[in-house]
Amino acid sequence: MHIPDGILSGPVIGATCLLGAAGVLVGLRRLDFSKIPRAGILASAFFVASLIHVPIGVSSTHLLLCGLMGFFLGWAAFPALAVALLLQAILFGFGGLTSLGANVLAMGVPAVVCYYLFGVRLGPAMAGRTVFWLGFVGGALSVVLATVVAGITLYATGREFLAAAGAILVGHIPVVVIEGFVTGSAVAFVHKVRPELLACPLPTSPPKEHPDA
Amino acid sequence: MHRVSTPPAAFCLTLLTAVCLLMQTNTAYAHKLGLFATAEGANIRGYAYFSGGARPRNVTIEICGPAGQKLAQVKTNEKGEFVFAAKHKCDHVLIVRTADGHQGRFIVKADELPDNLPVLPDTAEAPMTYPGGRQIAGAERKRTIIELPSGTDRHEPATATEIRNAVAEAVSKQIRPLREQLDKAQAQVRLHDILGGIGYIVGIAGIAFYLLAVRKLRKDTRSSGPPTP
Repeated sequence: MHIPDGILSGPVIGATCLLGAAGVLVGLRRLDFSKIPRAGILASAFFVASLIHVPIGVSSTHLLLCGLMGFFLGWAAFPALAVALLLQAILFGFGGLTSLGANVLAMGVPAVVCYYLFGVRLGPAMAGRTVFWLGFVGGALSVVLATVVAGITLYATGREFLAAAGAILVGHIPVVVIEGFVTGSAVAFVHKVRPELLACPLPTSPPKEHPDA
Repeated sequence: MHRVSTPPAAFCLTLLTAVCLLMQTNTAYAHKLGLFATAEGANIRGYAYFSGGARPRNVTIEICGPAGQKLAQVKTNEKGEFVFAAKHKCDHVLIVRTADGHQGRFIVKADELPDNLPVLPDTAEAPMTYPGGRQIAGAERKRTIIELPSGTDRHEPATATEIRNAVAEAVSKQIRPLREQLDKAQAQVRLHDILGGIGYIVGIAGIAFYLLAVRKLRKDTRSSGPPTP
């Protein structure tokens, strides 16, 4: 999923860097005292998760954890991801500096979408099983979304979108399921033990009602 | 109380799976597509790899000249290896790409290739000749592995260039495992990289705390500032 240097074209690099920076700015504005340690821990987890690789076919994949970051951080996932991705590029050589914006977007957009679609629905009185499945779907969807965003950036730079997105998605099918389990379990666990750690509305405020819940 | 028996069980299961996967893969798989190649005689031989071990099969390797002009392309075999017969003595830039946006590069320096290969036309400063002044014939240019002919087949002794090439090829074959090992060691993610990265994150979180605290302090002093007349 890490797009390395030398793949993306100049305009795509510029656009993705701008959008990524905008995301990071929004995230920084929403970062408060209680979110900083969370952001740090999740950034560390994301940073290390990329080292645990499962070889599948011609590619090899790893957990992304961006859905999880969405649940815990909301918009603040953007700066956490930017730091972790920058360090991965510098220390491990995964991804690249010019493609940092594209990679931040590929991970950050699913995180924020996951937050708005599922994170905000978590209520304090929700049953553990429901929370688990919300987390599962959020985590699984975030991987698919990350594939789509990475595919779009590759397409914008001139590659066949379907081939690229298809190749990434096929490589990530096992990850979709595992990611769903990890995200679901973690969200359900924290929801039970320390619900205030989630980025969703505070336990005191009633959960937002959505017509299509 | 919520009914939460399933999620912790699933959590444990996932953890267990992760641990099993870790044990199975044994090494830390780095998500980076790499390329390694050396010249043996005029043959550039190498392989593509995801650092950590897995090798991509059937991927295209583009071979370019020093100025980026495309010279040829080869595909990796079932073991992720490839061979390419160099036709010119110049830097060869090898690029591997997979459909999902991974890319690796490796440069085989001109020095590694035998002297009797012609210089690449674009960059040719000297005429394409042997040191002895003999023009290189087409058939000779194609020949990729220089073997020392046995005495009975030839009347003249092996030329200095041929001996030099044969020795260079033998040495390159001998030191190849060493270079592979070195390349592997360089591509490996080390513990201090991981710890260093986590340290950076902790440090950045600390700075964020500090900046927020400064902002809050300023706001507090402004709102409850010194009493003004």
